[in-house]
Amino acid sequence: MLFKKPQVAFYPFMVLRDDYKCVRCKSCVDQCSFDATYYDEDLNMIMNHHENCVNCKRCEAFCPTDAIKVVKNPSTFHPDANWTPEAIRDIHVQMLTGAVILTSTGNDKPIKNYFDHLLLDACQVTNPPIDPLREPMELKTFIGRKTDQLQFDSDGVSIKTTIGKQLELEIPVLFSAMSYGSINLNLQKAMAIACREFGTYWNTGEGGLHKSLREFKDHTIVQVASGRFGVDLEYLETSAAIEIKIGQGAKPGIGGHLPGEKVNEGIAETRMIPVGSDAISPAPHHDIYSIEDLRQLIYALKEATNYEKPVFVKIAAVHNVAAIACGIAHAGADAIAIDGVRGGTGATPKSLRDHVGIPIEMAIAAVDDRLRKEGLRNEVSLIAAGGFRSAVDVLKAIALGADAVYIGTVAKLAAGCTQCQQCHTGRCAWGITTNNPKLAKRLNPDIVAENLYNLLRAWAHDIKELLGAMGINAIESIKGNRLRLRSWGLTEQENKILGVLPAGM
Amino acid sequence: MSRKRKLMKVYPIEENCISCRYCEVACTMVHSESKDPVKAYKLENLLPRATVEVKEAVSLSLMCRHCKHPFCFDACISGAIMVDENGKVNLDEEKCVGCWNCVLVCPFGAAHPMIREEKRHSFKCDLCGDRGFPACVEACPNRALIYDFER
Amino acid sequence: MRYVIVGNSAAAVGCITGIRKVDPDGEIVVISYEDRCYSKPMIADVLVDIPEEKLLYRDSSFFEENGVETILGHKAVSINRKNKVVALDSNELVPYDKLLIATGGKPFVPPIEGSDKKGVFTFTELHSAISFKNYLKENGAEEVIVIGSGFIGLEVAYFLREIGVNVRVVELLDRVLARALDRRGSEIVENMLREKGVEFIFNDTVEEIMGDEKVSSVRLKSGSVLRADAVVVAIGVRPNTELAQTAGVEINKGISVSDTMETSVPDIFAAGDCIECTDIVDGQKKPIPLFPLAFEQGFIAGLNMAGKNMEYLGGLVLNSLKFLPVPVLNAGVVEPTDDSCEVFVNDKFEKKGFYRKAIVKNGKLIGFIAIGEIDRTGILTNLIRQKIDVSNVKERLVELDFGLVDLPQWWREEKLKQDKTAYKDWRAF
Ligand SMILES: Cc1cc2nc3c(=O)[nH]c(=O)nc-3n(C[C@H](O)[C@H](O)[C@H](O)COP(=O)(O)OP(=O)(O)OC[C@H]3O[C@@H](n4cnc5c(N)ncnc54)[C@H](O)[C@@H]3O)c2cc1C
Ligand code: SF4
Ligand code: SF4
Ligand code: SF4
Ligand code: SF4
Repeated sequence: MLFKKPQVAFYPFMVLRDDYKCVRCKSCVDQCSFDATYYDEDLNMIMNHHENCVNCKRCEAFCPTDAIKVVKNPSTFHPDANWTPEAIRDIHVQMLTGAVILTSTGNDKPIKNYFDHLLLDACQVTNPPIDPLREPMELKTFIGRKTDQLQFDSDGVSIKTTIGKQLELEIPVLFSAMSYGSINLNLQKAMAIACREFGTYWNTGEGGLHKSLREFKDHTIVQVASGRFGVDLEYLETSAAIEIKIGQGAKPGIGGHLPGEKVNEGIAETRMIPVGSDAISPAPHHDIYSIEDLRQLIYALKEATNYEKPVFVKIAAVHNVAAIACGIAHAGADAIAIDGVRGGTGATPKSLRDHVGIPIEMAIAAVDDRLRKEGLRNEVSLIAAGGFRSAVDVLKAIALGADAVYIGTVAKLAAGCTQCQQCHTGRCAWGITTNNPKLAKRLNPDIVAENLYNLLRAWAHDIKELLGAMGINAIESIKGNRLRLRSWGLTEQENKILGVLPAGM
Repeated sequence: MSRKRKLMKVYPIEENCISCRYCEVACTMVHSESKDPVKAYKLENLLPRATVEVKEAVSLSLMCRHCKHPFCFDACISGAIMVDENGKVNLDEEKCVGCWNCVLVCPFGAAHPMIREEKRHSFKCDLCGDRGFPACVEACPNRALIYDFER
Repeated sequence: MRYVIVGNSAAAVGCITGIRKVDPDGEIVVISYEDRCYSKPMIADVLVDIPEEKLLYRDSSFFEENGVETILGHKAVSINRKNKVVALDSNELVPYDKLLIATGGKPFVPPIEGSDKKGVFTFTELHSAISFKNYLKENGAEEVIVIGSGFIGLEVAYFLREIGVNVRVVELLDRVLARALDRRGSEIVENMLREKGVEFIFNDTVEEIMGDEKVSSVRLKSGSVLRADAVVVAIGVRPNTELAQTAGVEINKGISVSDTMETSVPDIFAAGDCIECTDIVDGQKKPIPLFPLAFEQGFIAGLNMAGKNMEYLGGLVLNSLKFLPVPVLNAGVVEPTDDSCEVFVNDKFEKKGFYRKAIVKNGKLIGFIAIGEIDRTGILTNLIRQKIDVSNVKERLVELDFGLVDLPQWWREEKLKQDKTAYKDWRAF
């Protein structure tokens, strides 16, 4: 500890080791990617640099004798509701570094989670519930531009209307954009496999599509962001859909930055940039300053791909999200993806992550209302993102008006993530948000693909049970059906925005 | 007398090994009296038969390969090392006199010396003998070890 | 097919094993003037009363299971290569189709005056070990002189201390194991033996063994006279080629054999301490009288005798000092052979109890010493055997955690994934 700034002494976590149970296998030493643990040969003991511990719990999970517990440092600052330890520590960090505090994952502040204040309905006596194990239950969801009315041939039977290309989902859940660079190829591959097996889609994020994943073309959404990394015609064509990324919930209004030291050969090739160069996505698309500009890009992409790919536009949920969404619909997008304030990321300034944007629940309700009012709801699909934790959250989002949900953090959790908020360091001990080969190999794509598949399967079961209880046999019938929601503990204003009645009404 | 051998061996897959050492500890544990990892190391003074090697991103677990030509068998002066009809290489720790010849000649470093207190003998992977299935393979969380027919 | 093996030790057992890999049915006959198949390197344990069965290298069940007929207690005196028969001292004639000469080595006894006195022993056969042990008991021997500080001499000295007999080792050179170890290694071994109570007299030799009928003292070249209740002569073994000579096979420093272990006479093979083999390290033909090599050569001879064509990989010096509490191993050469060699040393013997040394020539490992920590040194031995280029990891050779991760990936692929572990797969690159 000597020769360190005293402030470093106030560390938040500690690695407690039961030395008797420790058999000196040194697994923890090897597993810790943050240098919090080391073996002292002279003492023949495992020692710690507690100040480096980030509470990723890798060592705890891998200690074969269960000798380790990572705990909150009981030594903390004087209790103060205002000057919380976090607030104090942030000051200590910034006074030393003179820099913005970088972090990752999603907003960890206690912003009200409206899903927790919404309750679902169930059938009793009349209009009886449905047993999903006995009766067919449809979760199939189509993403893409629909039509307001159907036109029929003169025979009055055959449908004349043609609609644009749709994505066909076996569950209204897709994996959200996580770029190669922010995460590694192994997780992308795991998601791709799971999608192919289950029947849904994963999203490349803004880092391009590695050639080894091209075989998953039919389950891949390729993203076009302000940096245009990895974008060429082949890229656009190797997809099921194209997503224009305008913004992201964890960092609305700013661009992205993948530091040069992370740009290895694979990433460089995929992003089409030199090895070791910083990959900077500017805050704006320099060719988009209006809805008209956006429309041009959308149609440029459609044109380039022969109108065979639906084009999505992804934005962060900001204050006037409803108006923006309408604009996007007008611009001709086939789907709008909205990322709420809890949306995760691989790297973002803490101030943005925690203080910019609005909750996705509000955004869904507002956008759905507005699109309906403008008569645009069928023109465009609505995909909600940002902090979805369970099948119940998904169902509630759909009842609020979303067509489907993007999940990202969930995929990371299924790969072992413990939400230690160190993605931006590139040292993820679980091998998820890192391209360090030693760490990345910790994520076995086959195993994680199985985990993800299981998870989708479990969620599908959950959704079916809940739908069954509501007497509904198709996910389509709950979409925007806010009457089957009730709230508790919300103000009148909140209920109004969400468009739900309080419980009891 | 080229009989078709029916040997199953543990094959390491270095691409998947995450150097967690579960294999080592599982191995030590199942070869102990107590079947308890802590006691196995601390009271019974045992050591793993599998060795996890790490060098930067490369890591793998290595245990006796039950070589088609086992140099350890050539070198064993006491007759403790014998090859069974399937090609499994057995080391009888009771019979072993600790001449360390097997340690000296095993190209994989898979025959280890046990020199602790009263104990003086070599030891190595026995494919978990009567356990039926290798403990290391069972313990490996990342599919870096597989139990497969001899290649 | 009738296979006859003269000798019943490492090479013979290797040969039986080799023959049976290929030919399950052929007749096998083993001839030895000794009465059992014991382990030569273990005979010094007789001094500390090791149970007899522990000395057995292969028990009778081995011979039964392999359908081997044994003719024990009889010496083969000559070979008639024309009629393909071996004549025994009982005048019995043993016909063969394929013959293995595995007559081993015989102790070298220099012409010392008085070496025919009672109480002077060599130490290469079980019976000599047993009679030495009995002689000590019967004569209440308290002071023993060991001539030579090679592996055998030191082991005898160590075990004598174990049973409370005083020992002085007389060595012509200035340190122990001068041919097997480097100076530092010798020093470590010497210190351990001194702690055990063994005394050493270097740069000297025994010129005369004195006493009436029995030995009572020795006179050294330096002039001093030392009490000696018994003397052990342990200055090395020479190939035992007596029998081979009767067949007229070509003999140099030992029986000369081809890569398939065949002598200059068709259908007569030879293996073990009685032959000279090609040293993998320097390509020179020489006797390397070591157990692992004897077995391996016997095995290869067996395969070839039974019709499978297999070439011997070559000999390699492989020493293990097994009696000390601290293990001492070495393989290949232990000193640089010329100026182009690089030497790497990791000497933590005082602090941590280990010493490692590696010698690299032209990017290839040609020898090493490991004392104290010896785990996984076989990997090094194989580097010598397979002549794998180690230029980019040479500093690591003497680290305790040197391992397969230091070797080229293709090597691991070949050995681990493809399981290339058959004999021919270990050839040098
Ligand atoms: C005390 C001692 C310690 C040793 N320690 C080690 C060690 O630690 N490590 C190591 O690698 N090596 C050691 N060696 C060397 C090792 O024992 C030999 O390399 C090995 O035994 C050689 O085997 P072999 O089959 O060639 O011959 P031998 O073991 O010498 O056997 C020769 C056989 O031939 C028989 N025989 C000989 N002539 C005739 C004949 N004319 N008729 C019938 N039978 C005959 C003998 O009875 C005997 O069975 C040691 C040797 C000795 C003596
Ligand atoms: S993983 Fe557990 S048993 Fe192994 S060294 Fe660490 S604390 Fe000890
Ligand atoms: S258990 Fe598996 S992953 Fe862990 S060290 Fe052993 S082989 Fe590697
Ligand atoms: S101990 Fe070594 S030489 Fe013997 S069979 Fe196993 S891997 Fe091969
Ligand atoms: S198979 Fe059994 S004995 Fe062999 S290394 Fe694995 S656990 Fe150990």
